Amino acid sequence: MRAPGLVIRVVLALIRCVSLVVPRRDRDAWRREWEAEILHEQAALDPESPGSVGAQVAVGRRALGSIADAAWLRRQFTADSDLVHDVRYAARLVRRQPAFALLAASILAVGIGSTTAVWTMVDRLVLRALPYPDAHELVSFLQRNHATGNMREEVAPGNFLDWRAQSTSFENIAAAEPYSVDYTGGERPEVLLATNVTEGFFDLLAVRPHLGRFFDAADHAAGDNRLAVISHRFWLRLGGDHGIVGTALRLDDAPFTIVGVLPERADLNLFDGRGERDVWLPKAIMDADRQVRGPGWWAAIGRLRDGVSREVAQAEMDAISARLGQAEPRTNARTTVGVEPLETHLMRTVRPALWVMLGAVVLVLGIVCANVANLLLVRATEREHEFALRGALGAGRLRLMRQLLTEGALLAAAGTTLGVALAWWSLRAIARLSPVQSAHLDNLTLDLPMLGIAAVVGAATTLAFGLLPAAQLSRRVRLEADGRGATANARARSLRDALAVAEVAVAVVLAVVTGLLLRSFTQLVRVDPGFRAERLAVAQVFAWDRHNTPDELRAFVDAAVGELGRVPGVVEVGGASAMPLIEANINIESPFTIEGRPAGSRGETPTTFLTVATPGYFPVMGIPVVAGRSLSETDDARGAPVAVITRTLADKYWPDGGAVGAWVQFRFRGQVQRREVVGVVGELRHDALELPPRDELFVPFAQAPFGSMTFVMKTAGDPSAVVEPAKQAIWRVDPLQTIYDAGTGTDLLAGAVGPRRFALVLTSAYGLVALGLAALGVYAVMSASTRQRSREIGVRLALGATHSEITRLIVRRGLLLGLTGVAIGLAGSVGAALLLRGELYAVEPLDPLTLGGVAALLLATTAVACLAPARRATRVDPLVVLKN
Amino acid sequence: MATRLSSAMALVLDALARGSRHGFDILDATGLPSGTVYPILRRLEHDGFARSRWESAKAAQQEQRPPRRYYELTPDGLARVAEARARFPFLSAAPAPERARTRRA
Repeated sequence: MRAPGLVIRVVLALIRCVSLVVPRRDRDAWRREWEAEILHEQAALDPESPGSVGAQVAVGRRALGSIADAAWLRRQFTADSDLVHDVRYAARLVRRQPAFALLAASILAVGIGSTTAVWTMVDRLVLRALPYPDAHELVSFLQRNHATGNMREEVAPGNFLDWRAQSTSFENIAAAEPYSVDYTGGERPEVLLATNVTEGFFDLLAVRPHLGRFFDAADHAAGDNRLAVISHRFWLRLGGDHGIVGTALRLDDAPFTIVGVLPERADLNLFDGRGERDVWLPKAIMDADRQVRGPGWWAAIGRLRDGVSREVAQAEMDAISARLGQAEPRTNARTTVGVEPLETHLMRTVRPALWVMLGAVVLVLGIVCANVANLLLVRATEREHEFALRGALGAGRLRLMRQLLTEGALLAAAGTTLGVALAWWSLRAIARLSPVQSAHLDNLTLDLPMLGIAAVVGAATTLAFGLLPAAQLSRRVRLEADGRGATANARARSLRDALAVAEVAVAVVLAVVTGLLLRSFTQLVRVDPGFRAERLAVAQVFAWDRHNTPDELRAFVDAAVGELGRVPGVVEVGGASAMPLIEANINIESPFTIEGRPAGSRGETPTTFLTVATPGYFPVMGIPVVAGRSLSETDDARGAPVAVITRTLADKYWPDGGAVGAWVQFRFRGQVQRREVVGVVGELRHDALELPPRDELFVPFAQAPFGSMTFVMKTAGDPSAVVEPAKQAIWRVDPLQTIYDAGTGTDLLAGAVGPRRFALVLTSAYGLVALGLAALGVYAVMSASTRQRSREIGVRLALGATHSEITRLIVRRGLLLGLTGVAIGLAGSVGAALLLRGELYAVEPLDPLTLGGVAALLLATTAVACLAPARRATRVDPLVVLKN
Repeated sequence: MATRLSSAMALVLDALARGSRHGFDILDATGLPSGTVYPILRRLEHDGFARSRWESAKAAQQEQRPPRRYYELTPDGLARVAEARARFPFLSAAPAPERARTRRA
């Protein structure tokens, strides 16, 4: 035999490849057949020019038909398999009743999708370990101020230093102080969020620098240490130069040497609110720091020594705080210290919302399973006849079960696919809504184990309940002699009823939770912050670095107020040292005395917050004057020393009136000031809408210039259009002045309710889904039961029952299910509501309005879900039914 | 249920009836592409109109090539040929050997 030419060799290789498509049992014979034909063809080629490429190509072209041949065999083989038959049969069912398949798959998708998305969030934000070695050893310290009730007070430097000196449970304790620096190396002067850290801060976290080094003991010694560690993000912003260590960075108008760069995502935001911190500076402890106690502003963290539990550490800290209470009774008598895991501290703003959501989602998954089960049960009833028939015709139980399993698997697969899409989408939506901007939220990917669990739960439900017709078949297989076929199965019916009741109950719990959060939210947004946020634009500056003396400050603020007043759209301008609800506030608190009254007559010296304000502040903010007058332009440097106080302060110390005209004394910038109260104005909520307004005393800026200033502008139109021109106006006065924060009044309010909005939006979404699913569950049950009772209804109609009587019959039964569900659900929601107590504002956990409203809503939903089946029942033709 | 009788299938049945035995032989006889003829052969065999057997190894060895697969009509297949010829009169008009000669010199 001649050796085959190149083309023939290629063709034979092709045949071998294609043979893989052929079903195994035919493969060998198939390959031999084709090879024989080709080799025979080659043998028959012209002996004169055996290798002629043209002839070989002609053979090759024929061989191409092997592909179609193999494909045909494969198709034939596959089409013969039971699986394909089952899939085809299932697909036919879907085509015949697309609504059922779509509904069941969508319900599964909601369950799988929402569970996975929310679990992914909870996992990343709450459970995932911090990116530090042995993160479980890291703790954070909090001052618990039993005098004011603030159990999460930030740490005072003096306390921190004593804790560090006296405790033995920790490898190290370090602190961070929020700070900000003016960075003038970029296009525009800007404020960078910075953190001053005490010695050993980075060692404690056990992070290694991306570049360079962190601070050593010498860097923390008092002196002029202009050194900085920068975040990975800021390093990238500066160009990502690997040679950046040792170069200078211009901060606060002075050169700082960059000694190191943090690794990616290792930066730690220990402080509330926005923003990631870009610059880390070494903190040198001053003598003055040791004196500062009471409410603080530092964040302290520690690493537990090996083998020391958090409880032991807490006990030691309790002992230390008791000693400090005796040593410093004025500030520490009622202050203790809390040691909590660092993660808890970092995630405290989102954690409750996430737990609420996780609870909601588990409930939704439960409802979803109940619902799918219910739909399948109803369907099983509808198909009883079909399966009885197939059984009678000789289909084995196993064969029928396989058919049902295939149907269930198809449904589960469709549900899971849709669920993954839904999870992916909702994850992004949730991340956008989150009030916390965290590196954990970047590049969120679905949590695969959870996706697996949810999909398995969904699939298990689908398969288990999908198999029911086969199970029923085993009980009563044979076609009944009268030809009426299978009849209602009481056990299946009570199972369906139980599932519908469970769905209603779970929906009640979710609706109560949503209702309570909604009520809290509406109560909160109804809270009067004390100022009118509409048509208000704000711009905050810290001017003391560039304008040191009182005269310079006065000149700068006067010029800025004038320039801002010329910005198109701005109607009026004012300014104050402390703006309500803004992030970085300078709070000045001072004891004060009222002249003519004995000091400390109530056993303690009254204190008040001091705010420096320009005359324009009150009208721009819409703060009402309650008595006397507001600050005016005449209260200038040469004017008489005056002050204005808020209503809360006036009511507290002048309950019978008479505040106007009184003289008060307090300390401001280290000096005692004596001022006459000339007016009483409305109070402002500074820290949060949830917290009561503070006592506040306003001093005219012209008489007490102060470097922290938030300019407020009343605008004629959209305030957001004014924000950018306002910045430019300030830069016209001083091109190097940084602007710390700028925005609108409504931004401030939105920020104040952000975390609640987050929890509310999510639970509402789930609450609505649960409500819809419960309605669907009741509808499915009522539809099935109506269909099964059609004979009975026919008889009733024949005996003279009216349509309204029939409707009542059906709706009554539906409402009975609904009532049972609501009763069980209300009992369950008491527990849920009590767990939720910490999240509520101005609403009792057992709020009768919410509970009553939810009960009414669910009953109404149940009634509506019964209407369609009821109407169908009245259309039963007694003649037809009785004849059958 | 027997497959619907297409003109291609009729050609293949006709070729088998006239004595074509293996795949490429039928290609030559019908002028149809291999991607059409082979699936038709499979279907005929599947439906019981044709059966296949392997050429004797001895004959193949003499020509130094592997044995080919031969197809032949079953009694049902012969009946099907009659049906095909009745439905597609052109089959009886064209003498198969003429066609076969076009390729095989």
